[in-house]
Amino acid sequence: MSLIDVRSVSKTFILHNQGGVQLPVLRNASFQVTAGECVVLDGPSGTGKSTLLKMLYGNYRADSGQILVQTASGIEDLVAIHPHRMLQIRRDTVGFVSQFLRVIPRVSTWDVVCEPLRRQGADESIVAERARQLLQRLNLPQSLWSLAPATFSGGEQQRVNIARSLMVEYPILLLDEPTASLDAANREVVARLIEEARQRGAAVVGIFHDDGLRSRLADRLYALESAQ
Amino acid sequence: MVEPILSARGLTREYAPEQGCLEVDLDVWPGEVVGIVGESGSGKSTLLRLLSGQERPDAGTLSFTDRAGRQHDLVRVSESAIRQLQRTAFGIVHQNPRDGLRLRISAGGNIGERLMGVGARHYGDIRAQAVHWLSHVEIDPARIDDLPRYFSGGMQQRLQIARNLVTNPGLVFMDEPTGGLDVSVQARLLDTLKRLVHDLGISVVIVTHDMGVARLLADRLLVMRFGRVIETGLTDQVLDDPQAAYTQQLVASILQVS
Repeated sequence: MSLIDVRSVSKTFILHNQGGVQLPVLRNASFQVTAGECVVLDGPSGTGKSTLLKMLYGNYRADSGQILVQTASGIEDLVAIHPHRMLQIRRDTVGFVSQFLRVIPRVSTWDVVCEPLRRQGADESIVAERARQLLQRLNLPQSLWSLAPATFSGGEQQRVNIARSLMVEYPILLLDEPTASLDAANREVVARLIEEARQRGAAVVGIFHDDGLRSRLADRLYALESAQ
Repeated sequence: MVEPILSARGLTREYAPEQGCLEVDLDVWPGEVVGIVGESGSGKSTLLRLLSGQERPDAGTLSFTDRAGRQHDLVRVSESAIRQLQRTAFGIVHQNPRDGLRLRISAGGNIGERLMGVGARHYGDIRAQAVHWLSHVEIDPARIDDLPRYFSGGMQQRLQIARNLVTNPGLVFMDEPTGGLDVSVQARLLDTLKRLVHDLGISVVIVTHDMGVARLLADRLLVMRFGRVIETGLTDQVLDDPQAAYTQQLVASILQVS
């Protein structure tokens, strides 16, 4: 059964303030992902990999087509749903690991990481146990947990971001170059965490520039072509 | 499926052509923060005043469901019933804390006054609540007997928030709550607000012209221009993939600080 079913999705950016220039980025993208499967979006830069991934998270809009997602209460089309419903789907069904961490400046690493699971109303002891595990596995020393991540190095921030995004065991996981600024040891940790997510039945869609990681994790490639 | 606690359809208050607030539809669900953005004169403050019953619409419907599940028709309800809701079920945080505080009574008195408005009479209980709420908004409880006129702008704004939250409102309206504050004070206030919203399960409608504040605080956004809502969506979607020409212009004008 598909957890994600993308049907003929197209998108064109219209830059109203630059003379109405039209930039077609995606044309009729279609693919499915089943539970436990990892599909890697493939293609040269500018073919809309990142745009497509963002559409699966409701961050970008689609002009046409359907993005069907299996949620606990049935199949929903992300292209057509109310934003309020999308918030719930982000809380419970779809997780996203981006390359950048975006948080309120003063909030501690610990609270940043715990938040997604707390938002689901999980018991604080379960939240703390899971956060401790992830932070330790990602080699973030305990001395950093009480500090706000704003002053951390790029690699440290990236690992805080990964810990946060993996706190909830989402049925669907979207990954946008999750290892971009990590060293070899931490890349290995992240690869294992993704494999574990797949083993528990998550449908994974990712963009990986690292060839080793890509061949290790991908069950299939979905090749994108220029829409222009 | 959970129902919205506030629901507006066709809400209109027109002062002059394209001025005021025209045919606005809006739903607010429990626990969510809805941001209203736009330039000055776009009608966002008028919309906030209509939603919070500070002003009556010329047309449209507006219904509110309180924490006890009672529905209120905010267009037809009496003045006294609106004031009762504003004292208990709503919080209204003004841009200028001087509009929402009484500067000549103590910080504790500012909080206690609202509690007494809903029937609290026991001095010890009221004072204990005031201490509790001062620490909740990160004001040293030792300042409980000080007059807020001697507080900094950031502290006054925190006190105004405490005064509003003490009656456990389901819905809080905020008009540019970080408007007059330094950037570092703003960050701290935003952090406090975000925590309170989550811990207390309140819904917030916040008007701001600051896209940074909107990004950090709001779950969803409405973009207003000439009195109308021209675009809505998830906050990150509106800011990262704006559709309307005006929204694109608004987003492009944000200074990229980080």
